[in-house]
Amino acid sequence: MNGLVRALKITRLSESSTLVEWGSSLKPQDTVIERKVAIKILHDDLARDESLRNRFISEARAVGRLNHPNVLTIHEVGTKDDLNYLVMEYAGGGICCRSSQESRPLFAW
Amino acid sequence: MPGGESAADHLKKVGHYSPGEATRIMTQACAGLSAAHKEGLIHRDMKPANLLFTSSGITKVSDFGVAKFMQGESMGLTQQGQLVGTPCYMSPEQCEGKPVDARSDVYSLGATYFSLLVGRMPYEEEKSFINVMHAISMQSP
Repeated sequence: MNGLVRALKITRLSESSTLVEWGSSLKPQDTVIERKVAIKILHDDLARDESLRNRFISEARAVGRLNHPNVLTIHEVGTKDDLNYLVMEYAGGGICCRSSQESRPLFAW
Repeated sequence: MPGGESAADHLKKVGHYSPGEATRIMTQACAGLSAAHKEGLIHRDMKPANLLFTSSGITKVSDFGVAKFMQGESMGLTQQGQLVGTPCYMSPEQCEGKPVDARSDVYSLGATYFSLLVGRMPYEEEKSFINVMHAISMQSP
């Protein structure tokens, strides 16, 4: 959780995104447009895995091609102070699955 | 009208959706995935946890982290024969590590629809991932 703790110390992730609250899902406020966004952070233990770091980029690249009201928009992807993050449209339920039985997909790459 | 949670959260806390509500959610999920398929993108991890809702109840398909382009361009992450996805919602071809296309997402949408209507995962009674994959691949739906 060190990455997350460090994240809380970062007030500006970028020119447009600032963490203003946190919890099971992060709900920062976009400081320019004043819209609520969600931030997905790769934890330290996962960030050491290059394939998982690349997954962040691939997700942004994939969704970046789509513009549809039923697809969650990704506003930004980046790395700051060793923190890998995605800034996404906020959709109430956040990004966390709280169902233990289906919480994680299989990864075999 | 759901709000402030994913479909998986609702299933866990409240139980199944009404047929009308489940169908409304799935209609929007299909529209979102259809847009992805038109771009040649396969989601590969469709499940209730990846259906989020805005405060006004609009369904949003999320988590394209294991998505893959159908032709030509590789995301540079996975190789053929490697498994990605969540077992109970994976198509037989996905379980077997075979190449997948948009039809695999359609299977997962069907499995998701099942969950919304019934309130549990398909093949939930199976005791292990191996059994789940065997059931999906070998048993009649």
